[in-house]
Amino acid sequence: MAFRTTAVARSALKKWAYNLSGFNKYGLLRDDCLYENEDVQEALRRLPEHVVDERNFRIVRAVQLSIQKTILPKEEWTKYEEDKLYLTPIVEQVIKERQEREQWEKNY
Amino acid sequence: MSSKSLATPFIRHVTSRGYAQTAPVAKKEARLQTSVLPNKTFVAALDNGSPVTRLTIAFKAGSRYEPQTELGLAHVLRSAAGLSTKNSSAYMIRRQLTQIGASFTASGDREFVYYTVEATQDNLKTALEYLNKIVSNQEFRPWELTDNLPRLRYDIAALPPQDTACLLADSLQLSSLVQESKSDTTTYYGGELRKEMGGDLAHVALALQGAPASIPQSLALAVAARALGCGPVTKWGANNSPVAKAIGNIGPFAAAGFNVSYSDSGLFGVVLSVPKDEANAAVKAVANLLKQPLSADAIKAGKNQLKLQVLAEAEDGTSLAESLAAQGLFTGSAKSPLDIAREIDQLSTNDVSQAMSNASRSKLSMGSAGNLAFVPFVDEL
Repeated sequence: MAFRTTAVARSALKKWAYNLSGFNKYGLLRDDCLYENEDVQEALRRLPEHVVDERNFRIVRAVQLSIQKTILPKEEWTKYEEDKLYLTPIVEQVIKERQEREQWEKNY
Repeated sequence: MSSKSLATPFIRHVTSRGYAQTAPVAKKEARLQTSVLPNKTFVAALDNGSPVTRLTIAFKAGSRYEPQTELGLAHVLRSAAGLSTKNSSAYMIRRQLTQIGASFTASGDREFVYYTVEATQDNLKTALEYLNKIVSNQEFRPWELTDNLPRLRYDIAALPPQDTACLLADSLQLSSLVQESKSDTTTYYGGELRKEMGGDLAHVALALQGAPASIPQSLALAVAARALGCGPVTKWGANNSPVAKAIGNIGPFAAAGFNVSYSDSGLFGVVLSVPKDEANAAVKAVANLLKQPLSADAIKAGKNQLKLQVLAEAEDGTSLAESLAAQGLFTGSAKSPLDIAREIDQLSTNDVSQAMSNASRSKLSMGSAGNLAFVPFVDEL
């Protein structure tokens, strides 16, 4: 029982933190805010084209909103429940491949 | 992974320099063992005492199994060998095989795709492990396939136009297996395909219906194809074969008999490259030659040449391994090169002429590529 309440409380905390962070008011997803290092760039290359297009649209829209010093109307904010990680699993795979490569280079 | 055409015969230099004085190896006849596993996998093993072990896995996944809407799939499949699979990444496959000095190739023809690994015996275990990882659970990650495209394009563009001509004649005759799943035999119709590519030469393949690989006629036709001629036998020498004599003195040209046998049908004929202006006379002469019986002497020469070809190709372990795999998939059994040589010896002149006259009763197929301005159409032959 105690365990369950902890989980619920943690989820609520996450949601509160998510809304506090603010990028959802620009209509961005969590993965849109990743810093584009080499791993992320490689992962982006592996995404299907339409997913990249959607991401670019969200980013351009966010930049536009930021320039105009405004945010989206509240019903268009990204909801915590709808924020799927579309890029992170691929980035993790890229990092794993890179580590495998580095490991090999170190040993041979 | 690597293209066979680019392989440098490095070992030739090493052996000719370093080991020129090696003691002769005692000759023993290679033993061939075959069996069929409960899951219908055909296994053939040939122990020829070589320190290098080669293992070929062949699948019935050649171009004739391509659906009509996905033409070229067999090329992509072959070229994708060595890319990431569920068990291992492309990087690890490459590095591990390099580390043990193994060589991995994937090649394909109209019926099969072959994956071959060769390694020295002490490294065989790792090599087999990685061969297994390469052929099973391939993932075909879209970005890896896209990255692979330029290599595949180069691979196909590097095909000589003579091959294109043969392929065109070939594609007439082998209909796709996917559509005719009901019937076991392929019907031969004959016909013509032309691919205008420009240039100074016309490359033409003329063919008649051959024999499937499982029956003795295929061997007789292979003899006949060699008997028709295979270019000059001395470098820069005169070409004295029947097909060269039939074409006559038209300036530089190349012509050779060819015979291909598949599981249910075959193709037998001549492929020639001639200057575009002489194409008309040359193609007509060759078509005429195909209808006529060969002399006994030519057949005898053909038998000797084919025997040498079979035995010489068996010296190259990779092509031997692939040939054993193909034989198994075609006929359900495999023969050692020596057995095939013996069978060639046993063929009589009559067998060969009989097979040729059988073939000449079928309609002509013709595939042509290059400058086709003066190449006659198949109904004119």
